[in-house]
Amino acid sequence: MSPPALPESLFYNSVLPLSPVPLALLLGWLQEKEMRLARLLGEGQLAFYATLMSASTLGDVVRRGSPADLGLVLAGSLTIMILSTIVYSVAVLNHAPTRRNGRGPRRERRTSIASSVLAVCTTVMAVYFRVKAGLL
Amino acid sequence: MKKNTPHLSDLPSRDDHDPLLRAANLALGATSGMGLGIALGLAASALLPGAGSAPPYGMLAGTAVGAVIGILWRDEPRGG
Repeated sequence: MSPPALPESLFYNSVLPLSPVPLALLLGWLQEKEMRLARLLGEGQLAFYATLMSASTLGDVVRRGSPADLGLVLAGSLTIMILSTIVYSVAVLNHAPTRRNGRGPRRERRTSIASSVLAVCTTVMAVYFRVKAGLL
Repeated sequence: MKKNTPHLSDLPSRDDHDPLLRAANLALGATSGMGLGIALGLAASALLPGAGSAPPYGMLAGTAVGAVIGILWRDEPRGG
């Protein structure tokens, strides 16, 4: 069985899992409600996508055999998982019922930007590692 | 008449002592550094023939540098 092509892999691994975000933005726009990206992603939802992508990439590369770049794949996946944990922890603690002192929206905005950048970086690195390992 | 004195936490202050905001800054700095490192690594691997593994190294280096910058980042005082 031949490995999937890059567009097919991106569609099933990235576009479909992330489709609720633009769809929610579209629905909010249709209902004329304010749907900021920070409100959609401020609770660290994308951290799970990043963790899942890096874990599945690591699993695929390990199953493929023992490529020379396995250490790099492991280091990259662990880095993404640690950052995902930090992003998700900050998001959850930010929404805990504590006295916010006006800092909550700033944390939410930064968390949403960080999780968005993390999702993009994870997708790029997953594609890179899969191409290097001959999986795409 | 009772004097309405502001509480200490209501006064404008730097966010140096807010661990959550510091952690958010760390995450934002690390992910931004990661993205920049990947972009530079991809550019290097495309332009230089012997730099095939530059993207993951760039990713790790960019993450480390960005995390340090994020930790050291200080916000301006609010409302002052």
